[in-house]
This record gives sequence, structure tokens and C-alpha cells, in this order.
Amino acid sequence: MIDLSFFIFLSSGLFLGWSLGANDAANIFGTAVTSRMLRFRTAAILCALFVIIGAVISGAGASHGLGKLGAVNALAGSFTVALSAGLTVYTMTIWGLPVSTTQAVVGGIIGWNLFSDSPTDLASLSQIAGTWVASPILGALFAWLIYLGLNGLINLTKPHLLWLDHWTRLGLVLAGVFGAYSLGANNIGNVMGVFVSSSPLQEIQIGELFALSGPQRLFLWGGIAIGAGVFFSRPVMTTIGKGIVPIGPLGGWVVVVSQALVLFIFSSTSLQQFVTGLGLPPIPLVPVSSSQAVVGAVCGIALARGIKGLRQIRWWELGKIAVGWISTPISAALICYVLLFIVQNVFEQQVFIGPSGSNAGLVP
Amino acid sequence: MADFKFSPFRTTRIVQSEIQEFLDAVSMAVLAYQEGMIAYLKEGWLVAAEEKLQQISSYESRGDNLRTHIGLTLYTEMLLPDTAGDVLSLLSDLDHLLDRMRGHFILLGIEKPEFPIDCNEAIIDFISHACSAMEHTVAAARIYFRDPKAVHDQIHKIHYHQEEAEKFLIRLLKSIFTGNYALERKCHLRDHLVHIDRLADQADETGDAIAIYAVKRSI
Repeated sequence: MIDLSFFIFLSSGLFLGWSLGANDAANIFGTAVTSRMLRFRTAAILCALFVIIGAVISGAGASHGLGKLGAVNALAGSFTVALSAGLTVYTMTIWGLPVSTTQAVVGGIIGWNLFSDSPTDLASLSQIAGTWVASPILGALFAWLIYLGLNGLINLTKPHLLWLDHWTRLGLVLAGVFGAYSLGANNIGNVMGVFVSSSPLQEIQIGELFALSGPQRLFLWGGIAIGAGVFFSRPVMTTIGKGIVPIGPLGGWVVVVSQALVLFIFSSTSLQQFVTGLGLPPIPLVPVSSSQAVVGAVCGIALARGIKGLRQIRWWELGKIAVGWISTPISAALICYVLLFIVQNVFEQQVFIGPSGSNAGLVP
Repeated sequence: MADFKFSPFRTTRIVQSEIQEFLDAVSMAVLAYQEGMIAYLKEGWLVAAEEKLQQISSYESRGDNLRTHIGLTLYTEMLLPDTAGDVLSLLSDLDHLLDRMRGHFILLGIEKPEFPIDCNEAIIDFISHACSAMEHTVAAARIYFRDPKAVHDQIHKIHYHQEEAEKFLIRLLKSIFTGNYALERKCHLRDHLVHIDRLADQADETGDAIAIYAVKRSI
């Protein structure tokens, strides 16, 4: 039987998952819902279902990558890291600053490392920071390639409007499902990654063939939290279509596929093995910002449209994202450090287990 | 037991052929209108003109039914709503052309205006330009469904024929109003010529709308 206190500590991660679902689901099914080809309810059910599947089946890769930065080894510490990330996202959103949950979580872990006097693996940190820059660039590259390919295919085959529309509708649903799966697989690391080392959950057997490992049970909870958040994403979904550059349903499909590919690349262990098998350097498996991949993809479409598209890009918005790469983790690290101090000294909770074990991290 | 066959593409195929049939109906109505007008100018309201009226009426009726069915299917079963709106506006504009042609031909049969014989040649050219504008509009609509970027190739032809039709209208009105006819006859003839010119104008407006729908289709 799991202690109730586990769920109390897990609540900050679940809240982070809920807010991630409420915000990022819009990137996946926003176009399908705003163009009224899918009812919000249908989109939300599909999105929640595949987020959970992605989190449980493929969530380990990105979550493990985040763990290399710092293995938060006490439940109260994990709670505080997730809470500080949530507070950072909330505060920066209120102030209108660009923010990513991924970057806030990384900042939180660094804050915990500083507080617990654990070393921060600079190689991992630079790898993770590199993915922040790479994800919008990759998003742009994928969108640019897919857009040009799709445009060429349409010009070549000249499909009837009705058939094009038919395939677009089907494509939006399939891309949404793929996007939801990738979001679950990649971003579950943000939500539950900091709890993996401290979680008391053990493997359970369901029936004869099916088993859920401890981390997978954790990811299932996180996935459910994200899935629950999806049902609150309606206001964000209805505004997503009116973004940086005007894009139609087909453009929306390109954005969703590009974003899903970026998230998939940074969370698929099979792909990583395939790449290393080719003698190439391994792809780092870490959570990346889906919103920034979307911004990159939209810019990729604008680039593919040539000068007219370039003029439509709000370059200032891109600059603000780059500023967020620095400001978000620093803010989260500071908030986390202060909160860890409070949790440890005011609430007398063990926020880390030191090298000697047992009582470390608690005020004597 | 009902024979149930699952075919997810069936509706798309049916609507595609209905749109094709609708555009054929408009195109054939334009031909019937042109031939009917020429027959009336040459022979007066005889069997040939009456036959053409029947033809135009049957095309108009078929067009109405098709448009209603296409509209219902598009909104209830398929098409992204924005595209469905554009397609229905396009079909509605073309249906309006059908209504106008039929309306004018019915009036022609009732009022039987007496066009001056020396104006016949100019009136035939005038009708020819108005009908060409409509035909190119139907062609633009067909292209819109397949290759929106090529729509522009038809639009300038529609503009050309509309402008030519307008020149003929002015020329004919000047000729009629400077001629030695009773004022009521002049006004009567003017009304019918303006009816023909409105067809060209409507075709031109529909062409402009198609150009906008085509731009909206770019991804």
C-alpha cells in the first residue's frame, strides 16, 4: 500500500502535468479544433489517451536524460523542485514572459543540486541547453522540408479540393495522435522526471503478460494529470490558430507533424540506438519545449514562403524565447533554492539524502 | 436485411460528381441562353426560343437541387467549414447566374421586345461577350477545384469580356436613344440590354470571388 504522503508530495508534479496538458495540448489539436473539423471533446479524449500511452510506453528516455543532470533523491525535494518549476511558469506567464516548463524544471534541478551540494553534470547541462536551441531550429527545418514537399506534391498531383480536404482532415487527426504520443513520451520527463529517483512505486503485474515498472506507474499518474489538463485547454486551443503567421489547415498539419517529430527525436530510445548504430553521436534524450518547437515550425513555413513569409515573422518574439533560455532556469533555480530551505527548515522535511544516507538534508 | 457497404470515400466521390454536374448545368445553360437569344433576334419568339427556355429552366431546376444537396453534404459530412463556406458561396453565385439567365429569358418571352434590326449584329456581339464572361467564370470555378494557382489565367479573360460587354451596352444604348423610336420602346429595350449586361457583371464579380477563394486555398 502506498503511503498517502507520497501523493501529497506528488501533487506538485501532478499540478505541473495538469498545467502542461492545459497549455500544450493546444499545439497538437488546436488547428483541428479551431478549423472545426474535430469537436473539442473528441480532440481532448484522443489527446489525453495518446499522451498517457506515450508517457507510459516511451517516457523513460527523456526522463532518464533529465535524471543525469541531478537525481533528486528525496520525495520532499522532488516535490519542491516540481513546485518551484510550477511557480516559475506561473509567475513568468503572469508577467507575460516567454517560459517553458522544461527549462523551469532544469532550473529547479540545478537549484536542488546547489542546495544539496550535489555536483551538476556540466556535460549534461550543455547537452540539454543545446536541445533548447536545437528544438526550434529542427522544428523550422522539418516544417520547411515538409511544407516544400507537400506543396510540390499538391502542385504535381493537383488533387480535387474535396479529396485534398478529405486527406487534410484525416491527416490532422493522425498528426494530432502522433503529436499527443510524442508529447507524452517527451514531456513526462518534466512532470515526473524529478520523482523517479525518490519514488517508492514498485513494479506491478497486470494479468499474465502485462507489467508496469515503478517509473511507468509514475508516468501513468503523470500522463493522467496531463490528460486531465487537456480537458481544460479549450481557451488556449481556440486562440492557437491566430498565431505568428497565418496558416491554413494544411499549414497547421505541417506544424503539428514537425513539432511531433522534434519531440519524438528527443524521446525515442529506438531512434537513438539506430543513430548510434550508424556510428553517429547519440541524440540526447531530454524533455524539450513543445511550444518552442511549434514556433520554430511556424517560422519554417514562413521561410518556405520566401520574402513574403519572412516579412510576416515577428523576430522580436524569437528573441524573447532566446532570453527565456537563460532567465527561466535561473529564476527556477533561485526559487527552488529558497523553497528547499523553507521546506527543510520550516516544515522539517528531508529534501535530499546525502552521501552518508539516512538523516542528511534535515536540520539536526 | 439492409445491404450495408462501408465506403469512407463514397460521399467525397458523390459530391465531386455533383459539383461537376452542377458546373456542366451552368455551362450548358449559358450555351442555351446564347443560342436562344440569337434565335429570338433572328426569328422572334418561335419554337426554337421556346425550346431554349425549357432547356434553361431544366438546367436551372437541376442546378438548384444539386446546390441544395451539395450544401447539405458539405456542411454535415465533410469539408473544413471555411472551405465549405467558400465552395457554397461559389455555387450560390453560379446558381444566381442560372436564375438571372432564366429570369431574363422568361421576361423576353412575355414582353417580346422589338430590337431594331440594324442593331442585331451589335446585340449578338454583346450577348456573345456576356456569355463568354460567364463561360470563363465556369472554367475558373472548375480550375479552382483542381489547381487554384491557375485560376488567374481565367480571371483576366472574364474582365476582358465584361469590359467589352459594357462597351457594347453603351454603344447600343446611345444608338437606341438617338434613334427615332418611342420613349417607352427605348426604355423597354434598355431594360433588356441592362439584363444582359448584368449577367456579365455578375460573372465578373463571381470571378473576383473565385480569385480570393483560390488565394485562401494556398497552404
